[in-house]
Amino acid sequence: MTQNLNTLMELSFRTVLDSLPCYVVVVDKEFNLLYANQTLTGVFGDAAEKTCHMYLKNLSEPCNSCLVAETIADKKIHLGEGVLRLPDQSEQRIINCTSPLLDILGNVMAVIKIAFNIDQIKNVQQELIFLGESIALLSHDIKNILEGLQGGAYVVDEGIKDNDMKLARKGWHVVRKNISDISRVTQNILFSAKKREPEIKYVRPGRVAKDVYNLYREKAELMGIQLIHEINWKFPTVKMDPVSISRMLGNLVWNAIEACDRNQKKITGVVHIRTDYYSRDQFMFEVEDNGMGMEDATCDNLFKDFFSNKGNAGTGLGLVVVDRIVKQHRGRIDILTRPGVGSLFRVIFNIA
Amino acid sequence: MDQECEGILFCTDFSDDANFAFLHAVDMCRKYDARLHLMHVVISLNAHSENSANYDALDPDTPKVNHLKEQIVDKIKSRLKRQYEARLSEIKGYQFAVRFGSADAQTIQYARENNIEMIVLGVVGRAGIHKGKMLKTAANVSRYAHCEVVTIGVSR
Repeated sequence: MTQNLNTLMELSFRTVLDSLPCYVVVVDKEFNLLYANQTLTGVFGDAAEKTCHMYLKNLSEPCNSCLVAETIADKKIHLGEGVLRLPDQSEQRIINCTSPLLDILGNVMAVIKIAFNIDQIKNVQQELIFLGESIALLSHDIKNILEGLQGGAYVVDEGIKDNDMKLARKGWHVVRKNISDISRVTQNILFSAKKREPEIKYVRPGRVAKDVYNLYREKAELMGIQLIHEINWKFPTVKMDPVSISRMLGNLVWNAIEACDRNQKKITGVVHIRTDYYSRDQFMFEVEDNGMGMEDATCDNLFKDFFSNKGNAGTGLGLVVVDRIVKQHRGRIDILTRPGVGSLFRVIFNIA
Repeated sequence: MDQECEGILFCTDFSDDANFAFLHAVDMCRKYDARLHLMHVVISLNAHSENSANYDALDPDTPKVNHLKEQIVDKIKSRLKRQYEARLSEIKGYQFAVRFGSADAQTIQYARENNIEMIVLGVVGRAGIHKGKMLKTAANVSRYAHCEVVTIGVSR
């Protein structure tokens, strides 16, 4: 009966280990695998007569910083993070934990190593870091915009007090500009920080482009920049999320307007918004400006979070949002640019 | 441009203007003792697939699309060799390149990556002057390339 009980317990322990949703190996002092659980053998195959480093990493020697070796040396539990490359060449971020299995005299007989996949945890960590950085950086930008609002409101007050409508109107322009700036910044925060499922509808790309043109036309005029639209109205309706695409196009147009505004050559800034067929099965939106243009190094970093070449004026989120929306719609972005000449951003989507 | 030149890029869509531009590209290579890069840009995979599958809509990294791309590269390199080989012995050296994407963007990017000092291309492409596509490509390359751009057109 005792033997049956022992067999039953052994079977139960083995079943438990095999069922664990993590990788478990038992390794002797020569790094030979004594046991690998089913979760691991299901991925890496049969572990018989292999060393740990050969089985998991295809190495003939133990790894440089081997937790198993450390546990064998000091008989202590060790924890570490690492990356495990699977046979299909994909990678998993893991936490390793090694613990000694001691004999009756306290000598290390073997080491049990458990590894957990922490990809999801790392993704959440990254999102939280991003959120924290968003809040820090954007609160600074919002503060600047609010100061602009306060300034504008002060001028309006003075205009009303002195019955000077001209002054009041001047102040009101400043207030309106800062209201739309804060609106744009918060819209970009929402788009970048929150996952929004696209709401796909049948829409004419020309309609979307014209709406964006109407949104920015007056603003561009006030800044002395010409906004021109070149739309192929014969283009049929396509499936897209008009809200996201408007946001994407709006960000590109605003960047182009700002590039013209910052251009020190003092030529009349011109921004073109175009939409048309790109090929038989693809259509495109294009935004082209004759602003400052960009250096290669700037171009390489364009879609990285918070990268901005606008100094204190840019939050760096605009193009990140563009990139995200383009990827959501399975499109691609072409960038043609030359310092001192201007830039062209082309976004291409499949019609079907 | 210096008397010697590292590389001249000739971009072709196999149109009449492109073929005419090729003659000028060879002349330039001889004049500047330069290496010639002959490049074609594939704008749409669908145009090259033998079935009606919409390859352009597929994830570009799938084995299916990668396999099609490999076949296209081989096919186009063979065509480049067939079409232009006769004059290539006149110059120092040459290489073929096939890229995927937008003609203007890929041309400019290739030129940057390979330290090209001159780009030669036709003005009007296969789509014809009324479609204006190649005109736009030539115009964009002229505007945004980091090096000299020569556009050649057949008199019409």
